[in-house]
Amino acid sequence: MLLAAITVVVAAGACSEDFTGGGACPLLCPESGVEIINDTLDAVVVLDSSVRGFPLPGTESRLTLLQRFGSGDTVITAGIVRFDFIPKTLPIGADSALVAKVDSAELRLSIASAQLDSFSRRDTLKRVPVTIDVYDVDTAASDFDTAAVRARFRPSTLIGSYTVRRDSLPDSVFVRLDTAAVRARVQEGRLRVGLRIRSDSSMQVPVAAINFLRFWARAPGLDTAVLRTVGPSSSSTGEGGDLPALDRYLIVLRGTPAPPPQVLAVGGLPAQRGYIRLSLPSNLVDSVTVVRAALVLTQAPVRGRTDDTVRTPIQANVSIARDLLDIGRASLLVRSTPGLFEQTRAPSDSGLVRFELAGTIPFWRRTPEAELPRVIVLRSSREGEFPSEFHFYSSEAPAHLRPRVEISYIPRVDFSLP
Amino acid sequence: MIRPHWLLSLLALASPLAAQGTLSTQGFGYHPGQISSRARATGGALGEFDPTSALNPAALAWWERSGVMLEYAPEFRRVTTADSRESATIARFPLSGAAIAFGGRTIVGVTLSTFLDRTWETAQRGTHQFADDLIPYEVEFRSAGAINDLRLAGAWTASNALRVGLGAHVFVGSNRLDVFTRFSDTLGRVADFGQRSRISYSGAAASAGIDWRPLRSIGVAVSGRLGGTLRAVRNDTTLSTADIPMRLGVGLAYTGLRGAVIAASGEWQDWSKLDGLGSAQLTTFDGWDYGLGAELRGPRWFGGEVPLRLGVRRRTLPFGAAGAEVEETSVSGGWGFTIAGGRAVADFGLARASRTAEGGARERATTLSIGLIVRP
Repeated sequence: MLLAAITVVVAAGACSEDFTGGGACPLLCPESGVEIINDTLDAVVVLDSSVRGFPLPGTESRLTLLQRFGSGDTVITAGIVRFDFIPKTLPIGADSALVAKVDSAELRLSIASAQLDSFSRRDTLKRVPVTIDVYDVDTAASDFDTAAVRARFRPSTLIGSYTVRRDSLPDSVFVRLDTAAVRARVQEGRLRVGLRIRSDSSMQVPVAAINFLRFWARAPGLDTAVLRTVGPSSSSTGEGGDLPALDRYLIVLRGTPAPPPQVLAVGGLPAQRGYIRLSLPSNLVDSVTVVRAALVLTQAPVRGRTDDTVRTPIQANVSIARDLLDIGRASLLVRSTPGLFEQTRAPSDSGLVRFELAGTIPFWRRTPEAELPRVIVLRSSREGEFPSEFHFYSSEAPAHLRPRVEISYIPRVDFSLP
Repeated sequence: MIRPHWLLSLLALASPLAAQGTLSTQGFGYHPGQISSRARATGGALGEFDPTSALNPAALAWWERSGVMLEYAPEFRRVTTADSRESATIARFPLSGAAIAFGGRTIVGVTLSTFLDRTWETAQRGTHQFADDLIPYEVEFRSAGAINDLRLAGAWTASNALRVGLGAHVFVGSNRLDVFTRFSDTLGRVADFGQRSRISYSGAAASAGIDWRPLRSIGVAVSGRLGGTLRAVRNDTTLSTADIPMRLGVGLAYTGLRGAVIAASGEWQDWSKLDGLGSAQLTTFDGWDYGLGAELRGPRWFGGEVPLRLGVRRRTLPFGAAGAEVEETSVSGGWGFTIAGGRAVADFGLARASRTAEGGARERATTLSIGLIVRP
């Protein structure tokens, strides 16, 4: 009985199996071969280009009003805010009357906290004055004619200013506006203003939100002024969601210089993205398991600009656009894939930069190349918010500087019949 | 080998794989012998006479009345080479079956037994140079499953001295084969590699046997199996075919000593018929399986006798290791007792096996076996 009990207990212990071996390999393991092959694909880029104009107007997370001074750095940005639906009348009993006079008008802005904007944090310590100018930028031109809007930033259209020392800039700012100008626009039913900063120093002010336009208006027959508060709104908003809401967007009054030849530019203002279309051997995508792949680029230093040592993450995203010809669209429609697709660099850096693509290959495997071109899009994680610009040698550069793909893969293991 | 979850799926039960990293699990796997705990404890010598073993269909007649049986046989194994020593624990359910009696002379039974158990796993470590980085990795080869022998057999008692039997066999099962490579890259730059495939097997065979008592104290049992074609299939594609090995077995038993059965057996299988089923690297060896053992009347316990069993066994395993023949020698012992008023029998066995081959590798295995027979 004791023997039986011992046997049962020992046998029960075997229910938790452990039959992992390997110490006797390769003597007793003829099937244990896994081959990892490293390869470098040099002539792998079929098309690369820099695409300017990101982010699309109206899709910015904030309006970064920016001004740079320097030999190669003269960037100026401006924010546009539209109030396209302003009531023209005031109620008088059961009737109403057109606004005839505006006693006072002001614009309220919310400034992004320095804790939330690391790039602006250093500016918050500057003890120099900064002025936020407000311009009347309404035009009869098309909503998408930003050149016409830019032309409206001139002294004659200035309708308000707010000056403060930068280290004393509060979170909420009220900019008083010219009442005559506001009255004229209220009588037309809309007001579009442009914001920019002025300072003797390179400066940026991140505007998190334009809260409202507020004015006290009078009409014939009314003894007292009536307060009107209007939020930003745009008559251009697409109903189907295919157009961004243009109630607030950023324009660049003066951008970063054009990049030199033979480079792909990433970042800058207006921000650029690097479009790189690859032609990978189909067997690497379809028939083997890629365990590591990296897009290897050679960075060319950008020096002499205000922010050339500020490190910014650069992402290598994969394009999900199926249109082979429209590289602008291909550069816009992107997504990230698993893996280390991001590298933090400063514009003045140089040397090799590897963007890991191992997570991208399985994504490409799901769709034939004829339907989904193998496109990598490089973009700055702070595009539209910061003028840092990065240059990488393109496929037109000398051979040793061109983009290439380093790939490591495991062919199918013949592990079936002994 | 039959995996622990056999009750959930009979087909899964038939999942063997040839083991690697050991001597016993080369090729298409380990052949447990298709014998019961009782027969195993006698070195296999009683296998031809044992009704619950899956060798001789004529032995089914000794069921005498309807019943079911199940066997559990975990193995504790140690593989030693010049550079390493590794231990492993494998749980096997190598045998199960049922029998139904029709009248007093006919028994029909179904037996499911592991024919070749290909369950094994190896893990090896290495490093690979990726660009500027030397990254460690671990490669894991994993094989699970078995080829199982499902036998439907009938036995007829022609007289007190002669019993005959016929069996129809279906060989079914599958091997699930996995390869994993995991890289120790904390930055996530290197993706893991995984490959999974499944090979299914199917085939048929027939067997026949007799159990003859020419003298009161002498028993002779002879059985044989002729195989048809065994197919290895992956994704509806036949990878290879081969004939199921032919098997011939003979057993002799002497019962002239009071309270004792002394038996000897020999079995031959032409495993080389499986050559065509595997790759060119597969090496097979036709082999003999000899057993010598005894079952002795032991003490009485709870009103029933407790038989004690002893045996020795030597056999050639079907598949070679690094091209060399693998021999297995084992000593075994066991005992059994009746429970539930004689309606059930529990058998216990313990076998210590030594497996050797040229090349320096050595394997020691201890196999427990517990068999439960219920005959209401």
